[in-house]
Amino acid sequence: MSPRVTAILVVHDGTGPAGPAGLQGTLDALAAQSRQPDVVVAVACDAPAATTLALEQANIDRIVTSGERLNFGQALAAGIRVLEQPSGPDEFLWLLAQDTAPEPDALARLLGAIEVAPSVAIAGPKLRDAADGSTIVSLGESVTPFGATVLLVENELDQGQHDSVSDVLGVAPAGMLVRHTVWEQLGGFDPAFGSADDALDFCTRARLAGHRVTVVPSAIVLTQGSGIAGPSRSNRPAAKRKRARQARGAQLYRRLVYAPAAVVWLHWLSLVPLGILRGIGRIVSKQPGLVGSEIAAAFRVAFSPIRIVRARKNLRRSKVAGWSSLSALRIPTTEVRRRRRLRREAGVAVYTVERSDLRFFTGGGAWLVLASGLVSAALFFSLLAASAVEGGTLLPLSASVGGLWQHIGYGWRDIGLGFTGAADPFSAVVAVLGTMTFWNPSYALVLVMLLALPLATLGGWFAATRLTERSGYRLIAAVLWTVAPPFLSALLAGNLSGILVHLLLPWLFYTGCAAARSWGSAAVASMLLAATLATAPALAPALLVLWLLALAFSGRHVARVFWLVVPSAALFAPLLWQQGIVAQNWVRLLADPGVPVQTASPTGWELVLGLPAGNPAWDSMSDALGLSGVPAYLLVPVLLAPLIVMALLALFLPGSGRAAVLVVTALLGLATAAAASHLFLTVTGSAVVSIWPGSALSLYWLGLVGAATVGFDSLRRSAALPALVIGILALVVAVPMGASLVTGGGQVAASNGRTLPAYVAAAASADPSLRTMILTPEPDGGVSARVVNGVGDTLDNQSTVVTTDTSLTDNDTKVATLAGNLVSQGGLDLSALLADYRLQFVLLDSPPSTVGEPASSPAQEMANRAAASLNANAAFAHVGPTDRGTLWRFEGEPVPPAAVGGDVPLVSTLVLLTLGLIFGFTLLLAIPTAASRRAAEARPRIIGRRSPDPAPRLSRAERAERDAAAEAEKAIELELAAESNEIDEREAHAAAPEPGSTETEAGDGVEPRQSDAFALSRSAGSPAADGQATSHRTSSHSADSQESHGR
Amino acid sequence: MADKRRIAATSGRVLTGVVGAAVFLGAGLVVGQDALPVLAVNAPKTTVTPTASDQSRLCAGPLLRQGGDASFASFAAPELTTAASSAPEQTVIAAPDNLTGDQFGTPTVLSVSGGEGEERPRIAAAQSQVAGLDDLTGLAATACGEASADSWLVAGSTDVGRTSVLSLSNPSRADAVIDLSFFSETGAIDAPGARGILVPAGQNRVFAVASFAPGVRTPVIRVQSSGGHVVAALQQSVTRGITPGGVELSLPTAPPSSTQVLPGVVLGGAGPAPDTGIYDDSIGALRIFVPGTDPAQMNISFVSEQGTEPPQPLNYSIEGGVVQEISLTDMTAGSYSVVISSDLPFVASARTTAVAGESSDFAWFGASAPLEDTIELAVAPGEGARLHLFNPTGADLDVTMTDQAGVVTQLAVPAGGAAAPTVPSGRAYNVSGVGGAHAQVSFESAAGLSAYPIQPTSPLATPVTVYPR
Repeated sequence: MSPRVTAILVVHDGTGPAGPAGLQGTLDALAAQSRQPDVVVAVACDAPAATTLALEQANIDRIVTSGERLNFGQALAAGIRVLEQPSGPDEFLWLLAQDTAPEPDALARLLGAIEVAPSVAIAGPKLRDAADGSTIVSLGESVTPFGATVLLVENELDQGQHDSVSDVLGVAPAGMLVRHTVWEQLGGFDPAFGSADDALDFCTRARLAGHRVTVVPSAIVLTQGSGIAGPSRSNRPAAKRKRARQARGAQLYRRLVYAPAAVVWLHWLSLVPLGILRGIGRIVSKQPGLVGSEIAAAFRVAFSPIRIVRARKNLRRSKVAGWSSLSALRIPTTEVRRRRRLRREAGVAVYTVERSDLRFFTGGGAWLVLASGLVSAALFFSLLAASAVEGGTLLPLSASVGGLWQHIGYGWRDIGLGFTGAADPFSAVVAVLGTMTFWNPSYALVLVMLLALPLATLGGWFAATRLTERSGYRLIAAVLWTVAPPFLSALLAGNLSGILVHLLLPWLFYTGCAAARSWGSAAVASMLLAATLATAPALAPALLVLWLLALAFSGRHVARVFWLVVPSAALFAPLLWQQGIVAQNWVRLLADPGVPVQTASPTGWELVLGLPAGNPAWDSMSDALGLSGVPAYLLVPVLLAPLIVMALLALFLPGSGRAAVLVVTALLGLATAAAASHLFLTVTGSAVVSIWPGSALSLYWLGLVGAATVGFDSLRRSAALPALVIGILALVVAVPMGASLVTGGGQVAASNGRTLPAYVAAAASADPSLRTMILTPEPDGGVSARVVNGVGDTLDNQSTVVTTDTSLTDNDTKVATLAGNLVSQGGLDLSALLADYRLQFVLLDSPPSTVGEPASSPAQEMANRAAASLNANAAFAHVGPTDRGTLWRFEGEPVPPAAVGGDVPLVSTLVLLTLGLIFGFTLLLAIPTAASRRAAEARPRIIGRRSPDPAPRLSRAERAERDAAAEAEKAIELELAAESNEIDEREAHAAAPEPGSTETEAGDGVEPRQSDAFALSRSAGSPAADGQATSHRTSSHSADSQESHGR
Repeated sequence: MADKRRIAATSGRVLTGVVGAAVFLGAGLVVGQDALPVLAVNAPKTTVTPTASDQSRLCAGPLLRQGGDASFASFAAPELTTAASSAPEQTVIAAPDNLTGDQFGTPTVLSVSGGEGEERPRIAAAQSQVAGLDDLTGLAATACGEASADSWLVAGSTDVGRTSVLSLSNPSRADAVIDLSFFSETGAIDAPGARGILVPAGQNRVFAVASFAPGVRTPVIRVQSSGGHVVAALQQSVTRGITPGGVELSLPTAPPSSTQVLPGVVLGGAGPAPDTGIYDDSIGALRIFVPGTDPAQMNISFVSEQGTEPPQPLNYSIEGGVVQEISLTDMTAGSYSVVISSDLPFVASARTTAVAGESSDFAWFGASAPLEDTIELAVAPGEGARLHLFNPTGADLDVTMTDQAGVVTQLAVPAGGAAAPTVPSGRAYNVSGVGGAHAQVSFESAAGLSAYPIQPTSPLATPVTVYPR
């Protein structure tokens, strides 16, 4: 009896770009078969009339239509249902999809292979990519010991190198020839599979039923990979996600179906935890888009028990052979590992672009950082032995790391009399800082002061590596960044925000401009952005503009650029909600976090020079030297002018695109600084304080120095002298500021880590819930009253919600009433109030001396009045003058603390959980992996400079060719290694031949020669890429052989 | 082709450069001009009116006579007048230094409690006593004072024949630790034992000034207390040879200020004494002290209460840290309000002497601080009482005086002018419409000469501006 072949053609419409055209190709190929199928059944799913018409015209015997979009398995079942039951083993089904066009002799060869061996139930063709006709898409499938699908051959150029394969565990669904009886016996494809693993599962069941599965490399089917038969091969992110979800789902499904009954429940329990773990793995491996796929697959399988039970029953029914019979066909673990390595190396060898060395040590960067560190040690000599610092906006931190982290997110804020609200995002930055010196969180600020200069140098140097490859210009840029006037002003004024922003910005630049390149950079940049914005919220508008620009130019990596703002948004969400959405005070979000401290207001020209708080150092120096003829306000602009000129000159030079972006950055910084110095948002006592313009000026300076560096880089060697001059002039500007730091012009001093007298600290350490009221006489004769908790103010427990609030809250009224009566002789019985608020101490601060003026007389009168009233108050005992003011102790017994803040645990937990999730996600994404490092090395370090000979864009076929060449090289190398091993062994017996001759001999393989010839022929097409590949080969070649000889 | 591209690229760069540089310089210019408006929030503040407290006044108690062994004893009880918005409560202060105990009375605290509401209760009291001993004669009338943490006594003398007794009473609930500072015509006096004097709560201590500062003609005493507040009083008596020259009990004068007003200084009817160039404390004088070391320029002007032509203003330069007296020699008898202004804060008071019966008596006229709009006024029992009102404000004052019987007296005090109506002895008044004025009560009769300034309630209870941040 002659074999009878029924071809089943599954047609979807519009599944891919091929569409009906692909169908026509398949129909034509079907008609051109040398061995015509006896019957052709078409299954048209959701197909328009045009498609049906095409089918009718193509001599199809039966057309089955379906209104739904059935998957391949279901569609086949629908097609086969209309056939008669098979009468003998010689009836075959040939499974085709609309985009699979068989070569003319495909059916004949498949039949030939299956006819001669009755044990063979399934024969699969070699699938090639229809786009180029020469890349192998599939040539048999197998599984790893863990059950993951492995394509035996994938994306290789077909040179007949795998034509010896025959028995396999499974074959791809497209073009599969299967005995009809076996099909019926096994119940066809399991419809639970989507487009992944349906054929593999079927083949596995066939194997277990005692049949063989072979692949016939001589039978060739071209497939477009539109996802009807087998997974889609599209590179669109959505298709990738779907593929990953289906592949993982299929693997889990098969695991549950194949597992012994006793352990199924174990596998079932592990589904979701494993899904989450693998999701984390996806994040680490920089594929955040696939996290959802992993978890969705796990849930999908976990909640389809009925299908699994049915599939297990089906398997049991047909199974005659044991699982051990498949072991020879599985891919062993060692082979899995080998394949993975091969694929990795093949990828690298081809793509590597020569990335220059960093030259941090040889280029002098390290020495500059060291020098900067020594200068810093000299400037901050008095802080070397300090355990805490004070002055400016510096305050101690909470004593314990746990305390630090309690002050983030949303919840009960123990500020003043306490309130429930959002924490400043800056608290999180402080918490991270404090955790670094967990043994004494306050010491972190000492380190910030001591290491500020070297860290700025380091950051500046690394940021410069994004702009120039020349070591000299990197050094100049690092120096310019270190001596930036806004930075030195911040160090002088003890403005923590200004210092931190200046340290963060270069790294934000370094990672941010590479964000579109890699998920790792995007993740690091997103966290740096969050830290920067938390430290200086006023930068938000400027950075937002830059982000929108980046987003507009991000191209297909828009997701990475978009991610940049996600952690910031999460961090700011509680405050945005409270200050923006609820209170409608959006501008208050820009207020500087931390302690408001009054500083001198800069003039506009000083801002243009990057001076955020005037130029006291230069003024005092010119006074001291009697340089009234050359005032500082003329000298400094002259000294800084060359830098600005160079930055603007860069716009005229080649590569002006980069300079333009940097000049825009500088302008944004300048505009922000100008606005910041005019925004008086925070309140301290009777004074209102403007936003510190220094943070924005750091951004301005970044733009200027960056643009100047671009200019140096464009001018190449001829800019050496101007660069040196610019660097030296900037140093000259910095010298008086540095000198001012040494001579005590700075606000920062070593402290004992207390903001309240030791007496209070001792009492508060016994009972941290005690409060102290600090009364400060104001210049207008009023008095400011603040309530502080426990041992006093901490940097992590400040709130812009309080410092920017200009209305009188209930708490304010309570405090004011109490304070007003404390400084008066009144009839109010304060004892009850004091006990109620747990106020145990009253500290009368000396009147603040406003900038340049002594304590005014009204303030002194108020101080006298307050002292007199407190002295006369029988409820208070006069403790005495302390280093922080005059102290009184309340003699009454404070009410035991009520449980406060316990009423919003849900919101606060949710906020913390969200923050934890997002930052955990970002951290995992930021962890560098071997693969991400390799990917980074494949790109030049410089951003934005157009390379003189851009790498040509390659089509998929070309890439596949190169991959094939690389794979072949790897094969040679492995072979070489093996052979040289053999030779070594031989040498152990015989006299040693010359190593060179060994190499020549080793090169004498059949396959290597082929691929060598191929590589040579390709080198005409893309000289750059292949030249590198060749050089790489020879170098690794010799390295390999040397290594093997060394053994 | 390549050339064209290069030209396009170059011109693109030049355009970028020109536009970029122009924008940058323009932005620099705009920022440099500093023309942006300032957006500044207002610091939240609130004015807190301290809750009305109990008001209390301490009356210094009977005149004391210093024995030879530096012990003190009283000989008669003073008479008291009280004016209050509600019935006052009387508490007695223990006077362990008085050998006669409470036989002739002790220092007494009069206090009224604040009722419901914000209105502060008002109270005023005054006492007077006529001494008729061999060595102690004259009238000593004084107001009952409010306790204070820092007060200046500008009175007294420890010259030969002059006795000054310092009485410190602590009406508060807290013990007071007193630091006394003595200043004289030669500067600050290093007085042993003047620091850290403990006055327990509810007690009175008495000291002879001579034990701290002997032989001083013109002492000025600063009393500073920590802990409880005290009322300091200085009793001065004069004996010229064997003739008693009067007695006076003085409370602290107005605190240091660059303007001091001494309303109603009465210059005795005996007429101006000849200026002999020798110090004589029977000649009327202003005693002025400028704390610190810098000299102060003083301008002293007079306003006659009789409407007569006042003397020409005087200009003096007063050395800092040294007590000086300016004799009032060339002035016709009458009463004057003396206004002293200076460029530095200072304290001042005036002493005059008048013939009283067969001998003479003197009085200290303290500086008084501006009054609130409504006050209680107690006129101590004594003949020849007059209320002196001086109005330094720019507006006429219409003063309404209501006595306990409800009898209303209207009085007009012109802007910059003074008025001096007589008032009945021992009468209590509610006086309204005196905001900003200065007041003094004087007694001039055959019994003697005496005066006391009316002081406003302690400024420690005025509304205060609080910044709750």
